Amino acid sequence: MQVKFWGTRGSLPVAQTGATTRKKIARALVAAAGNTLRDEEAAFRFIDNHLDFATGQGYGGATSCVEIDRGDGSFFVCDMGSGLREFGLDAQKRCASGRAPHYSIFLSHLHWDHIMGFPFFVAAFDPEASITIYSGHADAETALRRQQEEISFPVSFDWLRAEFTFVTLEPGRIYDVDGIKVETICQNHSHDSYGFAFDDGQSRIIYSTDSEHKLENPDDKKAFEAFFESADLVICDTMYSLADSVTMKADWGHSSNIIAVDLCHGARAKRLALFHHEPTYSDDAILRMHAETLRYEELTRGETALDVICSYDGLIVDV
Amino acid sequence: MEWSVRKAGHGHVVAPVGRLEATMCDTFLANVTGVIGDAARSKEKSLTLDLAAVTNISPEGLRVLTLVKQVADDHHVALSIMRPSHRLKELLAISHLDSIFDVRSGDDA
Repeated sequence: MQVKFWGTRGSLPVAQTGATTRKKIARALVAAAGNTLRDEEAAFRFIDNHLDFATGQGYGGATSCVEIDRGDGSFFVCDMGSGLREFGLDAQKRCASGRAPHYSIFLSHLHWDHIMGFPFFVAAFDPEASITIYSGHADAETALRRQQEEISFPVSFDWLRAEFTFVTLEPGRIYDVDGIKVETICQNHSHDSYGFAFDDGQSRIIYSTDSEHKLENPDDKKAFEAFFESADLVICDTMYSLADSVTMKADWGHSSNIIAVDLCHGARAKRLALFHHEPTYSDDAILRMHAETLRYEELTRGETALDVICSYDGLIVDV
Repeated sequence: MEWSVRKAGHGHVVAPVGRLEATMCDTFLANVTGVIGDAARSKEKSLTLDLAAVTNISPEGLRVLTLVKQVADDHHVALSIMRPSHRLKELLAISHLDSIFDVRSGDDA
């Protein structure tokens, strides 16, 4: 399976300001001083080899949307944050090349940042498309309809042309969705959220965002270590530092990079993707958080190393 | 986990020994809360956690340090951390808890 990150930011989309771009250009020019870059290819090589990720690229600002791609069958998508718009345009191209316009969408929860891409999802306007929305919440359809009421958006849900089906999933059960085994787990978040496990028989991918893990709750630790058990990739809410998560942002419904590493170590997971980045963090701050997480993993690892990657809009990971 | 309490010129000093992990957190917090009460009634109103003999600390242990800090603040007791090992100091920095605590390296605590 291949995982494509279309939106990785938490809570609110982030747009890079002109001042930030200017600062990156200045840094790059200073770093390149004395080099001869004859064309764009040479410049790209310089960026890849000599600039840090925060300067040479950046993490992006679209909210949660992750595709789990098998190359055929229905499109599997986790959450419909603002990244869904770009996913929809890309999927439309793939459908033009012959792929069927069938979508299986898994909603972690119904908060705005996880559904705000839906009104701009081109497949919803395609009469040939079928869209099945899986959620732990029985009120998922209500949330999507309400978002498109006239007071908030000019296009009513009833004007959409795709065929919609809503399926409520129960934690603890294993579902077969288009040949993939799907499980869900209830998570600690306002109005609850749900994590998902996807298993195609060869690899296991976890999508667990907007989930606060209370350090004083050992049952929560056991439950999530079991859910993450031996996963090939765990996409995990790492919005805060540990200090923030247990002090001023306690009970805000999110977790930290430190807890994510500990859960993955306990579960013997192979790879962790840091996800749902704090919208107030600059690219430099996210880069620093990634470095701190790598160091924490190194300091606390047991027999097997955990590969820690930091997700960004546009990242593609083979699992 | 073993621990000791002593009175120094600058106030009370609590010195835990060994690993500060999940199973010890409740006891550790209860014991330190008692000492914070004593410190609040003293002239110095100061408590130092001497972590020189703490060999490892789990995230639960890091969290309990923040709870100790809350209790100390509630009692208007100045809390500082003294002599953390290099590893502990690094863990405090990685978790950003060094922004909450007054961390001192040696005998200046």
